[in-house]
Amino acid sequence: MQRADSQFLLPLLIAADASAEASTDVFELSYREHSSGVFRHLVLLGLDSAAAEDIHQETFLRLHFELKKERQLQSPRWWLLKVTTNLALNYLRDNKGRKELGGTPAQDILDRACSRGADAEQLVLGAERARSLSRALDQLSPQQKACVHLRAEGMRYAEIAEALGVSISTVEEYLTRAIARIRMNLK
Amino acid sequence: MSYLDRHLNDQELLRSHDGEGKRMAHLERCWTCRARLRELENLTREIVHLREEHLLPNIQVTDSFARIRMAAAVRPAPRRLLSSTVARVAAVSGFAALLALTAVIWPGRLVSANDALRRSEQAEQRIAAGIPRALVRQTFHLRRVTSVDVRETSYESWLEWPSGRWRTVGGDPQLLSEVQTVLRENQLRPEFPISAASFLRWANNATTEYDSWVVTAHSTLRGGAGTLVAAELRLRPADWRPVSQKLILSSRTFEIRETGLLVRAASPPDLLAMAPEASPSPVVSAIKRSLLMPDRIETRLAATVLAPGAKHEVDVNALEVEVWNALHRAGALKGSDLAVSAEGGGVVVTGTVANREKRSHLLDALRSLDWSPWISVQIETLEDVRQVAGAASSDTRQAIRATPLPIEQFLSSSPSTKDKVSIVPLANLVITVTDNSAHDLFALRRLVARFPEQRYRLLPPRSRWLLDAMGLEHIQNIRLAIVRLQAAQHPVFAQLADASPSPSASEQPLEEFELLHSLLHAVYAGAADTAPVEGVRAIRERLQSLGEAFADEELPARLFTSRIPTLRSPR
Repeated sequence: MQRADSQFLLPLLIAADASAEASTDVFELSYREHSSGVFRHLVLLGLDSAAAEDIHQETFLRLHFELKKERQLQSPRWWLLKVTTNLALNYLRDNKGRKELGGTPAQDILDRACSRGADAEQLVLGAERARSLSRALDQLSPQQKACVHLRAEGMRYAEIAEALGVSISTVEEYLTRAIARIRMNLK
Repeated sequence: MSYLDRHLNDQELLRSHDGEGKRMAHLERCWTCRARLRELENLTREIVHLREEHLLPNIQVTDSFARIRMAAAVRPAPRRLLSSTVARVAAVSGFAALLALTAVIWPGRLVSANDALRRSEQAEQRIAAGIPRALVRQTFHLRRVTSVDVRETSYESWLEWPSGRWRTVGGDPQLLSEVQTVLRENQLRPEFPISAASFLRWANNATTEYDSWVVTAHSTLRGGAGTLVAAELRLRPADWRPVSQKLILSSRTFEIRETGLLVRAASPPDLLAMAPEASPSPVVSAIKRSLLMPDRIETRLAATVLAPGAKHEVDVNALEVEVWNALHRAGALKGSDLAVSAEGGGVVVTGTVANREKRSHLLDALRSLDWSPWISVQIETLEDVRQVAGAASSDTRQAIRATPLPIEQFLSSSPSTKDKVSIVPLANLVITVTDNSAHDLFALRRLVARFPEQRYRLLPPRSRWLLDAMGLEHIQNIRLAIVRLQAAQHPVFAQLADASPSPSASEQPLEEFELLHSLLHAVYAGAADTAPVEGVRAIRERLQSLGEAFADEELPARLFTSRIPTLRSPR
């Protein structure tokens, strides 16, 4: 068995300086509060779990540095969603055409939808409807999907526009087209 | 036409629905637009419901908080440039000065060879910084140039930090062995064929030069054919990391270039089973040859042995779940005899599939896992089996019995039959549906038997979640099958004189379903001694009680954590 020199291999660890303690607390609180929400948002945007993990980590790293600059973030959640969405859209753009592996979010959602019991007919109808809706959501463009999910997160058009770096009318356009496309796919 | 008289377009309607801008007065008086608005509300409610009610379960990102803290400590904070006027002026002047300096001195010459190597060494150490147990996969392109020929190969190197366990995957074994010998003889590290730290140590006995991101060293020692005469290390300008190395010997030159790098946390799944490869036994090799596998990814791990005393069962278990899930997602578990087992620190997949396309599909699914080198695959196809058997088997098809089915006699003799039931399509449908669901049942049982409660509880959250998801999918398929069977046989049940008793949920749903499967075969596939009336009655009752049992919300949750007592081993 090959044994490597531990001195050579040990990761470089640099302790964070003491002045960062205050921001670290806020950071930890933000992490605890928003970590799973950010991850879910990434998965709903269509990322596989490995990519979602990477972007999740990158987003919180950025938050860490943002807080270190002693900047007051009015809404960490909004900030996180904005950064996450942008990173996810960049990733999807860069990996266009890459084959997604494993279960899609739609399938996962459907699994849970179908596990809820109720009577058989309801189950079948509900499952079928959920399947169609999930499929319809999956077929949206990344920008449309981002608009729908950010709107569902409670963001206003102006906030979505700022997050995506587009105008409000573009957001309206994305949402209108997304709704029309979902409707068409559900028919 | 005023805005009150025309209908709202979709964008206006959506804006109104979202509370953006003023509420349109038109909506107050127009039924059509209000109906469209309600339809839109229903759609958005459904989307929200799907997200909120059926959101994915929380997947814990493994140790992510600790990892982010560590990464934050290592990564330099981004600096906001030119934030003030003074800074802008300073930047412009600095840039001008830099331009002038660049014209005179090339930046590559600003540091000495030793400085460059030190910087490169630091960059190298940062690869897995902040990850307590990292798994590093590097891909290399290796080229050997001699006066006679040029030989090239590509291979992967897997290394676990900080334990230093290491192995290579793929590539030309002879060429690899040759370069590794050269590296060892010159006190360089075969596990780091491109390393500034090793280079620095070796270069103690050499004269070094640095120019434009390339460090060159000429040995001052005299040695044999395996001793390096010179070496070159090329650094990446962006971060000083070494990316290629040239080893020059008296009779040949090796060029090694890094073509890929992946760093992952080693948990989960933890794969510490990186023992050195032993030669497979002749018997094993013969078996593999007989399987006629063009894609021999099984050779990657076939001989790996978990180091004695190592306790990494949980992590190998997690890998096993990943493999089950990959096979499940590829649709390979239903109706096949594939088996997955944890052996020798890796996971072994064995069994038979219908054809080579199917096997190739499965191999792709398994390769897509990050941990594929720890997965050994021994899947044969039916074609292979037939070839091995020497195609001796003759036509095994049996004559189809033409005698009427008992159920047919029952239906034809029933006085209340007004619309005669067409028995052949019905029997075909029933048998197809029940056989398909039997595949789900057996796959489900196999999973439950493979992961008893004690083992299930030891798994990391992601693995448990994957198992739950697979189990739920099978249960859902069985539920749908029950509904279909009830609907399809409704005309048959109508022939029974007595009313059906009120159903009670079956206590042993999986075993009951298996009995139902046998009953359906007996009644619809024509067992000679089946009493059709009793058979149909029993089917009706079982379907009702199973319908109740499979609608039980607790059933999926009880699958792995509190096993259903009557579970038997899968067939």
